[in-house]
Amino acid sequence: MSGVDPFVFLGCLELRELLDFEAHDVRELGEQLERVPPESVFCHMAAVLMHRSALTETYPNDFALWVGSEVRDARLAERLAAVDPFQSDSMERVREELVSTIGDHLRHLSAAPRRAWVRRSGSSGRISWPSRPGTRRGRSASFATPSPRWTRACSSTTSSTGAIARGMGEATSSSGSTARLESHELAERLAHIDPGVGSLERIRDRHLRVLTEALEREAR
Amino acid sequence: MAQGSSVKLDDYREVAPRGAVDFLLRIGERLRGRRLVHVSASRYAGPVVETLNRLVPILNDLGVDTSWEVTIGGADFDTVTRSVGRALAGTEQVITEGMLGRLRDTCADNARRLRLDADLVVVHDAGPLLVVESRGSAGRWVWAHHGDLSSAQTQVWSALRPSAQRYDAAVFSLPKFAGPLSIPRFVIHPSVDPLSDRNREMTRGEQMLQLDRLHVLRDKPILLQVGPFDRMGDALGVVNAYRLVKKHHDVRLVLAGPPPTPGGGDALGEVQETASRDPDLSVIVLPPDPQAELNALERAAAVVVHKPLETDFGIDVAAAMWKGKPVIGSAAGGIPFQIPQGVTGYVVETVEGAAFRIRHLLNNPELIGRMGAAGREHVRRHFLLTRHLASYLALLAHLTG
Repeated sequence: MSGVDPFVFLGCLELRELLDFEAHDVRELGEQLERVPPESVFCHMAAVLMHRSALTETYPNDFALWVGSEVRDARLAERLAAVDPFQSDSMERVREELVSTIGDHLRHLSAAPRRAWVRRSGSSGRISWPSRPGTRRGRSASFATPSPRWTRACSSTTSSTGAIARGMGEATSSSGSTARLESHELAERLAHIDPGVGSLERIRDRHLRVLTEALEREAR
Repeated sequence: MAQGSSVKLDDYREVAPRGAVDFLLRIGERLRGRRLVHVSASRYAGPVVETLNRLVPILNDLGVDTSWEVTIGGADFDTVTRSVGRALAGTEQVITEGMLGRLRDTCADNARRLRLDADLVVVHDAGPLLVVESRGSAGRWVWAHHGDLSSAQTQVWSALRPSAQRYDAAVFSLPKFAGPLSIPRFVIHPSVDPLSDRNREMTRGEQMLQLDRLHVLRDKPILLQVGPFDRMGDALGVVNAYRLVKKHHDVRLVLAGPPPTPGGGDALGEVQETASRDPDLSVIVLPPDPQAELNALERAAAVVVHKPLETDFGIDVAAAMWKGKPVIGSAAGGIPFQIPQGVTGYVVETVEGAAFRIRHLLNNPELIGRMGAAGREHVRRHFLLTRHLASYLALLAHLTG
């Protein structure tokens, strides 16, 4: 999470005082939320409590805003945005709801498919960008919140397209289902598809073409 | 239209959020008779000066006895002040003990000369920082640093930090700009004055007059960047983004900025050279105090680009949004803080990103209008002078009891 502007807790409404609490990731946000004075929770929920924001498209509280823009975890940002202080009878209850939302999110994060997708990179916020065989590694991109559609696509296929998306680099299709089918010729043809050339759609097309030809040959 | 020092607080009722002026009157009543002194190193240039020019008379109208003192020194004092300012902003500078000694002596001279007996003394930026060394026991002192102190040159900050610690509190423009200090630290964002020449409503005729004077044609959608022609302003990056856009849309790019300052890393020549080969690219070196010119340019633009590589708060973004323009900004300084992503504009990281977002806006003209309107409302809520005024009054109330 280096490079992320920390969430700095503020003290009061009209005059914003910087408090000695900072959160650099979601886990710290949850921890610090338990420690800050209730006035700070109020301050960061104030857009909703005092003057409903004129911009309805933006997240209504600072926590959701920070998680959305800095951590780039849209799922948690949406959940934090849904915390309605008017439904709670005190700031302590608002705090509890925020903390439990974050805790719940972190607990379920490891079970979510996208987590497995990210784990391969060895860091929570970055994955390795697929590299062509023989090219130098190290290009990386931040993918904190892959779209669910994309994640499903990755987890439901063992094709090289999926492998690319999982950051594995070289295609594994030949050693996957085709190897199990004992179709070594097909495995070899699939292995020759260069995952580094063209878009993912193009790569899929090439896979489909090879598979279709194999099926047609088999039918003959 | 209300202009200059004749502007009254009531004039802001038409532009400020509902209730804002009444709130100021109420809090002003409570603070009536308190004395507030602002101290700055200049009375002529910069956003701080523009803000104080308007804040001070309004505070007096509210019954808060407010004055504005300016430190003076020789030419070398100004040079030292500028170098120290740059060092605190993170640009490596050679600052000798002799230079710091000169700063200390000049500040001590000024402390003797200036009238600093007040309930609250607000010292702005690095130049007059050391005036605090001569403070008495009465009154509270606040250091307001408007730039980014988070990556200050260590040697310079180590020398100045003990003096900064002598204040009762410090004020920063953003949490991430705050320096490590053990005194209370507050956040007060800069603001735009909706009634100044830069931001007031402008008739179409007046606008045309200004654009004619600047030789800006209005036959195509205008992309505008306002900023210095130095490396950090990244005018060339904006030119590259414009070229990517130009492949798909017939647009003009206007780059407007002040004349280059010594030591600022001039990119003006290169930009002018590029512009000489492209009739749709205008480079405008602005005259001194170009308030009306900037107002007209921003109003004429379809999309405003603000893409410096480094900046402080970058209040120009709010100034453009106040005119109902979507802003494509870089992720530098306070720019991301001012642009809710996809709502009032876009924050981009690259030239390609800027081009992509500009194209997206030009392809969706209704989005330009919607984002522009959202931007104006966003500024009305968060970045108008009335909010700034409320913050200072709150600071006065908080620190002086």
